[in-house]
Amino acid sequence: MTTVGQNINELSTPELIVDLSIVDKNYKTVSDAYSNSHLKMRTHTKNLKSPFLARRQVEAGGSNGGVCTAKVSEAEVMIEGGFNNILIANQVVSDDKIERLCSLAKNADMKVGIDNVENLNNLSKFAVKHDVNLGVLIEINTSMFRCGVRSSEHAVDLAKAAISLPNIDFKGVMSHQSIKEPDPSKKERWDIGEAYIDTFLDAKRAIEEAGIDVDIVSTGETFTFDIVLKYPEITEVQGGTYALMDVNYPYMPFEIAAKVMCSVIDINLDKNLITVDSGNKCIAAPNFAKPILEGQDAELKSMNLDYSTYKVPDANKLKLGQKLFLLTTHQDGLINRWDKFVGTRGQIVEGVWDILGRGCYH
Amino acid sequence: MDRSINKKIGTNYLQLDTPSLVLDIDAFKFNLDTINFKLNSIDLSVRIDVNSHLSKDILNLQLNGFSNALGISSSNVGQASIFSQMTDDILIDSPIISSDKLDSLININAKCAYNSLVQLQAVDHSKLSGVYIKIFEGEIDEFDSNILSYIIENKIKINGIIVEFSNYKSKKDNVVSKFIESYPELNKITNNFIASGKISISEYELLDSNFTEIIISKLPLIDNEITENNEEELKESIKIISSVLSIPDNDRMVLDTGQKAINIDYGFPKIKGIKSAEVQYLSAEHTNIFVEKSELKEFNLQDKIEIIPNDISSVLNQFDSISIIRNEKLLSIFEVSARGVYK
Repeated sequence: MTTVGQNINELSTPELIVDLSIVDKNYKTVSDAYSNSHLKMRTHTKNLKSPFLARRQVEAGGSNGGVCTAKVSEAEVMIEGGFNNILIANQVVSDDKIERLCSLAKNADMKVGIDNVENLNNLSKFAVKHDVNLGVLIEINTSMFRCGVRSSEHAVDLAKAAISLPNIDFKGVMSHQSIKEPDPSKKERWDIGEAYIDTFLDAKRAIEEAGIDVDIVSTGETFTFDIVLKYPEITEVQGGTYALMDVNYPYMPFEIAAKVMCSVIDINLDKNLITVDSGNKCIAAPNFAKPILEGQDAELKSMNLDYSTYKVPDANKLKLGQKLFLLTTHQDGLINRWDKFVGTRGQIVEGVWDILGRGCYH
Repeated sequence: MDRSINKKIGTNYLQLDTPSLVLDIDAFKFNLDTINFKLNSIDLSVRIDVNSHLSKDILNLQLNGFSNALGISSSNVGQASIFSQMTDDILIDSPIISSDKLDSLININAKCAYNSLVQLQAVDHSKLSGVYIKIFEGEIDEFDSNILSYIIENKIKINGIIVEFSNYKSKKDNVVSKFIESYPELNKITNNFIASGKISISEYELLDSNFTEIIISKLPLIDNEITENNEEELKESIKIISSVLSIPDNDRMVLDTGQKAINIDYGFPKIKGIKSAEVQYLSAEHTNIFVEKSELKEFNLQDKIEIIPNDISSVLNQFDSISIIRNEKLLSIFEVSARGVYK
């Protein structure tokens, strides 16, 4: 049983620990940067999956008061959590999900990404049927070659279609980016980020040149958190990882708040190996990625569903039952594997919260 | 938690809300029967690994489907507790060290497995009614004989020795007999040897005759790993149904299902029914697939795509429920009872 005021060393393991003082610090970094700027954070909650954590950014400042989700079901969770300005930063194409999206539009300002005119027509058809208006943002591909239109011309065609359709409000443009370089210099990071954003803004300007207003210009993420400030045209930033962080952005001004606390359950002194009671089931390690054992200079030797074995410099310094922390390479994958998290201030438990968006894939 | 749109019983599985995890009950039962037949011919008792599927309903089918089902193997006390109403014979295939977990273990009359002397020395085994010893087939040559001395000296009751095979390709014969030859004192401790881990059906007959039990893991469910190692004998039974979300290029489709639903910790899944499909990558919510232009022309947004995961056990831990189908129609919903239970 986990109780408020407990020291985390007394908790049973494995346990997902979220240090709220670090979350708040990360939020303050955003607030300090964006509060008095032309753009605002629209926190992407596919990472957090928790209205409780998402609200803290709004309260900290620098937010536009809305959130992003990746799925209709995640949007439902955020609306239940009190948000009424939602951007599903993804496509919603299945008829039954569009019906569900329209239902949400009766209760909140709903916006959704588009990259296909057939989908746009379908959104309009269902919006008319349900007598609601759906906001749409055209997704512009800049680097990920996932969803998103591939050219400014296509973006203009879609924008023209959007403004012609009933019950569709053309709102603007959006994009996602990722950075593949593991540890870029500041210049490399800025060069990469600027190139992506420039591609994105080319599409935005093309739409405007066609005589169509673009109100929302939504882009950016953790690695371009500071770069976006250079662009007066950008209105909002879709940051996700920054709130809880993982090991992929050590060069950004955010700290890791979400960790899996584990226990040492075996020690092999001859080989300097230790085994901990946490494996793939509770910490995301996509495509054989290697979670980090915090503060141990340890090398992952093997990982199965329930255990991980690390080679450490001196196993003699560790004890059976000792608590350690695992850091993931994929934070939103990690959060999705847990139903609850233990919120702490440093070592002390502040509460246990449900991860209400876990498993919301629909 | 899962917020999929519930569909009526009888709905065609391709009309389920996507992503959906779908199990063909007849294929699963065929696999159970096939495995059961093979095991009966070599007279091995069966212990069912609930960690591989986390579902009470699936366990129920397995307990009824295997003629020699003894009980279960689980990976932690919390998981064992969930299944404890269904069997009295519970092995926790992991070392339990902390006193609170040991108390829970005693409460459900389960036995756990230790694999090192340091673990055995760390617990008050006088409280325990017995323990298992676990060894890894690839590390038998390095077995610490002090474990046996410690067990004999402290009169620890040993319920059995688990031999885990970590590789389908490793030799399965004479493993136990060689071990007994090297450590004759084993005879004083137990004559119960349990085969566990990666064992294909074709290897059952080759297993060392000293084995008395076998732990059946994800085998009847069938994923890519199983398919590659149990070629012809089992039927595909479980898959994920996904929808085409975007066709942004003339040689690419993007599905509405990513690594949050299809765990890729053990590699990428395979796409069924599209000859030229090659999974490029999975992001959190998307699967990005290359498809040759000529074949891609046949697909539209909303079309359903079937995905076979590389490791089904890790995928099951990401779903709250399994849609059970028969003749392609929804028959029932199974809860993934022990999803997210890690302690």
